[in-house]
Amino acid sequence: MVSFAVGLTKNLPDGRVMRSFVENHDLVIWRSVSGQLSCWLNRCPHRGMRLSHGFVRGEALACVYHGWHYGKDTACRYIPAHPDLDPPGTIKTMAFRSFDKGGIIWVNIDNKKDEPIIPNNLLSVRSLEFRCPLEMVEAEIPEFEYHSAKKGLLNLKIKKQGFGKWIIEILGQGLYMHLFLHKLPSQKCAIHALSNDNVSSEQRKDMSRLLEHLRYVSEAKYKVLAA
Amino acid sequence: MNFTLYDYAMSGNCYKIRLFASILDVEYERIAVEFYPAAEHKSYKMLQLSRAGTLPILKSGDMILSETSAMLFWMAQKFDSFENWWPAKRGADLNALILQWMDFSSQLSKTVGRARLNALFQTPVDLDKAIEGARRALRQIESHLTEQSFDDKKFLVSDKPTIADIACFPYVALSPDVGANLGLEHDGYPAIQSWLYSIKSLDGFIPMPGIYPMHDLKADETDFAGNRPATGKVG
Repeated sequence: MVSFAVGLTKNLPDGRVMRSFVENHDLVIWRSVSGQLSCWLNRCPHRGMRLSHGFVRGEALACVYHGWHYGKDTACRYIPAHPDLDPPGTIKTMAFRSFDKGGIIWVNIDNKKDEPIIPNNLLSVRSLEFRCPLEMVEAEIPEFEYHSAKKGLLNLKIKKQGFGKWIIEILGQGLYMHLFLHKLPSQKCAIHALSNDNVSSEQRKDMSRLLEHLRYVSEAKYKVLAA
Repeated sequence: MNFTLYDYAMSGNCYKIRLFASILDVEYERIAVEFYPAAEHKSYKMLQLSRAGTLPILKSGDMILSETSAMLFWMAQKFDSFENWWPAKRGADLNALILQWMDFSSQLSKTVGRARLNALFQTPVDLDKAIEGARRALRQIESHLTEQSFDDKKFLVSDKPTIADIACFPYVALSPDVGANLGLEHDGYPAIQSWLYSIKSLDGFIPMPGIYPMHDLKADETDFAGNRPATGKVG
């Protein structure tokens, strides 16, 4: 099984928690204070609360409901209501292989080694959620046109790199953008986008707006189809 | 007392004033008004005080304010001698942008705020329209904050918070209260998440129902290594 792009490294600093999905698995992804990334099932073994509502304490993730702490090995380390108890080793959650590469957070749900191919000098643009299915966006990208407010119709060279992976090159500007499409439940999807690193803030804004327009077009088409 | 606030604990608009007063460390008198179910803010006595029939109401001497943007501006003028929150001397552009986002905050009240009132109290509203508008407003603020981040700015108009951030914060933070799977949870909005985190990290930050403090910021716990803390106490 391949690795799935679930978010941008930049959007998950040390000590923070996020929620994501791979193949309908509800996941909590968190980074400890020392920077170690973990990806678990998004469910506290105690009462089923989403762990993505929780918070990081040092090298542990704490559930927001009753404060149970889980260490990086997924085992429960501390139960605030029973401060003197050593929690039994059976209280643990399930982990998936996760890693940062090229500015993207990757998750591999069958835990097999798979190294995605991605240049390591890319700069984050943004993650953007779409309220339409991934297939809708896949179909839209090859046809996509964008009028920049300042530069008019951009000359785009669009190349597919594999399922859900695209490179959009903006010719004449020395700009290219890597898009990683990410399937989400309930007919939604996201794009995690990065660009080459020698770009100005204005050029990043242009690319961010290009993605917003792609969302606008894809969602509008989906609305027509769904009606 | 510096002023009197006619207040309702569950209101995001009232919370703007409580939050800003706490950040500025200003004391005030707080009078609780029963918005739901008694609709006390529409009572004869309250309408005598403010014809607007809304909450909050800020009273200072003979002055009565019923719009939160005006209250935040007044508080910044009166209690922030360093002019951090309304940086009048930093130029027309910056001040106009602050006013623009203050105006935008009323869009948030009309969309997120009304949809949330419907979720909490079954207050009648065109729910589909409110949710659609709420989503559009969140996307607008998300895209703006993303662009701000390209210029290393953490807040709506500047690298420092202004009253525009206080005005927009509550109903962005409360949007998940409207319901699940409507595009109003914060999961799909990384720039908003980061902005909420920055505001919750401010000195004097206080919570309200639906807006929780950051448990993860307690410095006394940061050396916790995944094992039970020696003190046996976690905040």
